[in-house]
Amino acid sequence: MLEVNHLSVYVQQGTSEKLVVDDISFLVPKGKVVGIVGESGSGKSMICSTILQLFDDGRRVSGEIRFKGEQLLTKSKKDLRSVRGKEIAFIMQNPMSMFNPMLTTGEHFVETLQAHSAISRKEAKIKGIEQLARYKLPGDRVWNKYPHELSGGMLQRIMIAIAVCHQPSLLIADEPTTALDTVTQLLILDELQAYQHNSGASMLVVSHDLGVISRLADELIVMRHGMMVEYGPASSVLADPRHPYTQALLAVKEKNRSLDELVDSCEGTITEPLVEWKPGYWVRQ
Amino acid sequence: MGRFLVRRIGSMVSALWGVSLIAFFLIRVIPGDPVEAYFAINQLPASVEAMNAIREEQGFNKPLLAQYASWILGVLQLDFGKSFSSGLDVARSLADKFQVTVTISAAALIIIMCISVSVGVLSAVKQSSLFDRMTRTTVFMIASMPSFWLAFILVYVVALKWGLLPLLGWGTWQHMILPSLTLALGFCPYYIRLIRAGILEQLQQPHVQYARARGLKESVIVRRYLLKGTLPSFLTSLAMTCGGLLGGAAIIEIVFTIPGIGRHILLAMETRDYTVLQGFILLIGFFYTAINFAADLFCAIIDPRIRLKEGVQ
Repeated sequence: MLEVNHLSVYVQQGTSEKLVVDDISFLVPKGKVVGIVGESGSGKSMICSTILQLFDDGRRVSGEIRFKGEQLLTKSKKDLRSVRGKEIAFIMQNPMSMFNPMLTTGEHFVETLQAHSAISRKEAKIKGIEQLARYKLPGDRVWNKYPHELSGGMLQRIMIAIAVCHQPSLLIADEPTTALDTVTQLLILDELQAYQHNSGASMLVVSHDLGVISRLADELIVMRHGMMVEYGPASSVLADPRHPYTQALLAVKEKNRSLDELVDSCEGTITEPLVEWKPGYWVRQ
Repeated sequence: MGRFLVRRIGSMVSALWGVSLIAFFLIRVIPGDPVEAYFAINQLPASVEAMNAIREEQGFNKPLLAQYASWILGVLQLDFGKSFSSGLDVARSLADKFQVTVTISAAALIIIMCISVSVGVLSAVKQSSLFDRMTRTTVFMIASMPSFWLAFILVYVVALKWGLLPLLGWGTWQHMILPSLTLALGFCPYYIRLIRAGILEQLQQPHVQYARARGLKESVIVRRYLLKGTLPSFLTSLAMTCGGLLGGAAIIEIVFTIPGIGRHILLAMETRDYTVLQGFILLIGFFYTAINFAADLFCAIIDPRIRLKEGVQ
């Protein structure tokens, strides 16, 4: 479905360039969920926004990204627009600042539906309210509400409802639950999982929270300083992590200790190469 | 909405009352006596008795507060008094002359909006392009020219050299173009920069990125996201300068020899025609507060966050 080959991303800083994503390759197979985990600044969100080229100038990208066999990075703006939101949908972090404060929920729905299909406002409203109901939202009441009148959890669910309204074949969720409380987090994760199960779509989930990722992912990528340190089937990575950083991440979850003190023990620049340790399981030893 | 309207209208009325106080008393502080000026301009023999007789007739010898009271009571009944020097009804003559000035200002306002929105949006969306760099240079050039000088250049080129438009005077719509264009051009640079900066700021907003991620057309994003987000601050500051626009129109009128309010007021200043001046200041005050009120109302309509802050639901 999605194939990322030797992707590197450089960000311009003053006159020099900084490498933020370093030669990453992975695959999101059809109907599977791939999770990327890592601390903030590890480059995981960069990968998401690079897939759909949602960035301003000042970023340089090398490598290739293929979606259904087609090159995404060389697509024209027009062709890219027809993929965004239709074939590949995005669920972003921090839903409170992602909605236009001057538009209602309904208007967000209508414009998204109209972006990819010739549909009247009336039909769009019927479809939208139906879609909201599927995510246990009172459509009639939410429809005319502005973002500041809704809670973060509601907005996140609305965002999911909007994201899936064109039945995308790939869903990218960038920290989908980070800004939410624990109970809402679980609800959102259930909903994402349910959609993925029922539609057979692929999913790329990014989080700094191993707990979130381990609930969803079939395959797991662990990132550190813009590099992949471990990549393999989620069950193997979670049960028997090879890299000290992954071990530290797991320890945070289990022993409830802060990441810093655990990571300090394995600090230092990463120099080891990424090698295939078992079939389909890569790690920097 | 009702409470918002009542509060805004209340503050408008109290502002206008303050304007009336300043208009009335400040004019009387300025040195110069209307009666003496009247005698001098009409070259009448200035005998003390004759002057006193006129002071008596006009009520200039009454205490100031009493004069203010009788004037303001008249104003409340829309009677602005009669001009001392010409004897004409102030309300009618002001309305007559003001119509011309308002027409020029309104036309200039429309030109300002069209030019600054289109140029501002284009140069922000195509940031650092040739168009953007060229407008920046042009805008600097126009901004650093005094508007009367720009007026002379425009008159020289368009009216004299090319003969496309009438040179001076007033009457047809062609007469309106040069004055309003001159007036507008002086204000455009500021608003082009305001819109450009506003759009660039909007472009950084996460909700614009989310709109792109949903595959919205670029034209929809410009209209519903970038422009709509910039509009409130643009309109508010446009309303704030509308006083400057009316004042600028008065100067432009003199350059183009248009029978507008500018010349009328200059004349009234020379003759210390109190009633005309007071009426004029109050009129300008009314326009200024009314336009600002309209701008606030419009912002509250398009931006729900302003409605929330103002307690309007």
